[in-house]
Amino acid sequence: MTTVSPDQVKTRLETWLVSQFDSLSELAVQAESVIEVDAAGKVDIDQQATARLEELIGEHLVRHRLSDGAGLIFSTEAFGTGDGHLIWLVHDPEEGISRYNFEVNPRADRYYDYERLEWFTKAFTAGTKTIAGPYIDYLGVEEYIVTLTAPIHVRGHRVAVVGTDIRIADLELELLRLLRALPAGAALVNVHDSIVVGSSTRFLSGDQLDPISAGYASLPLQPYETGLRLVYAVD
Amino acid sequence: MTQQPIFPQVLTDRPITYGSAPAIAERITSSISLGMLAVGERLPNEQELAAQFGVAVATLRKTLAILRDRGLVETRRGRSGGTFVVRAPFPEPAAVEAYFAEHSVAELRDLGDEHTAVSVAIVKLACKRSHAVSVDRVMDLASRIGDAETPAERASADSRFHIELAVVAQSPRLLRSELRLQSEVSPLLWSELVGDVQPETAIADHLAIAAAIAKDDLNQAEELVEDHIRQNIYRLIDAKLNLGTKPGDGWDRS
Repeated sequence: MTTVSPDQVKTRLETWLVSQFDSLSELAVQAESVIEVDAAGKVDIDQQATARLEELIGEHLVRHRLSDGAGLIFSTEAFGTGDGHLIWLVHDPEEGISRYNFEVNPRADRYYDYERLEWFTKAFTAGTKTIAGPYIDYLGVEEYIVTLTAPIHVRGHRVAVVGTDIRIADLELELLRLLRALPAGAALVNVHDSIVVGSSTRFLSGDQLDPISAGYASLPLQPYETGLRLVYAVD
Repeated sequence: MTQQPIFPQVLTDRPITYGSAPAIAERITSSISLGMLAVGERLPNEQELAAQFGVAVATLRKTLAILRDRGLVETRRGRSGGTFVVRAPFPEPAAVEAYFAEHSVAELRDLGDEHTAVSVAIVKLACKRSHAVSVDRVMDLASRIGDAETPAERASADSRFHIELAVVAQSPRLLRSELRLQSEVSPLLWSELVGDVQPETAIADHLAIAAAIAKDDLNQAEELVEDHIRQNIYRLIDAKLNLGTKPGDGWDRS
């Protein structure tokens, strides 16, 4: 068995993370060329533009089988109707890639109040690449996921975020083979010290990294603005 | 919106011919052995099942006859009739392996979370509602695993203890939840694939829990149950990790 160093795992994880955000940025650039805004910064997307955006997101999903869903989420202010607005497509086991509808009326019972959720607020308010989760997307897609987001700017106005969801179960399949290379156990840890994915019972998804038990070291991961770290046990 | 299929593809040693009555019986048997269909649960009606497997109702009836012959299901008539699961067979190693392949570590952690929540609630009520006779019964069942000779018998004796706690707790709803959880967890715990099973450890845990109930010591009982389930779930997670890739495997692939 080859001995793998924490630095090698860090590099692999970074390559993976950076490529995820790169393809998200690619989708953002494509979307930015379709979305129109007026002088006041209000978004204007007609049926034709919506169809084109759905097509672009669909193509993105075809290239990213790991993604549960992807799309654009507009700020209610930029959209101007007072309702939320999302163009979100998912891999549906029965229908293939299809549009997913959310309750966007703020007065409705099951209103999906995404403007209060971390993946939106960070990417939109701070304007940074964000990875939020693991979390249960209650009233959203209702899966246990992480969401990667980045802001979208049209003619200097920040109007939306672009995002992609990955189910924790799928992320595990993708990342465990990297984390398992460190036999004492390792984990991808988010900015809140929550375990995203880990390779031992010491590092279970959703648990807080135990601050009392020392015995582990950590390495920050690019893109640094996400606050992600590789944490690994040291004996 | 993504619904879990009731009969996921489960591996068996025998080759599966789709659509034949024995093949469908195999798949349903695997689902029952892994607790995806719990004891006491009613199967969908014949038309629905036939549609799910894409076979004629006549074929499906043959399937149900096979399951009845094996003593796994019973068909009852009348208003609350239907075909019910009455016994869970112990799963084949291949079925356990498939279970671990289909469930992520995060899902196993979540199974442990639910099991802890249900069992802690049960043991607290058991402390409040137990009396001398019921405590004797719990004590008696605590060490039954020692009499068991096969993994299947150990799994069943282990479950029986936990189910008795729910009986003492006197909550039919919690009992149903515990039954469902036991039928999923217990066969895995005692499967040869998970290994490292020490009946003595399980018995010691059970006896300590029973003693805490006898003393009406709510806090200790809660702590013991939490710990017991945590250890068990950790064993399942370790088994999943070890059955999947060995450390270092897959590193050269990326």
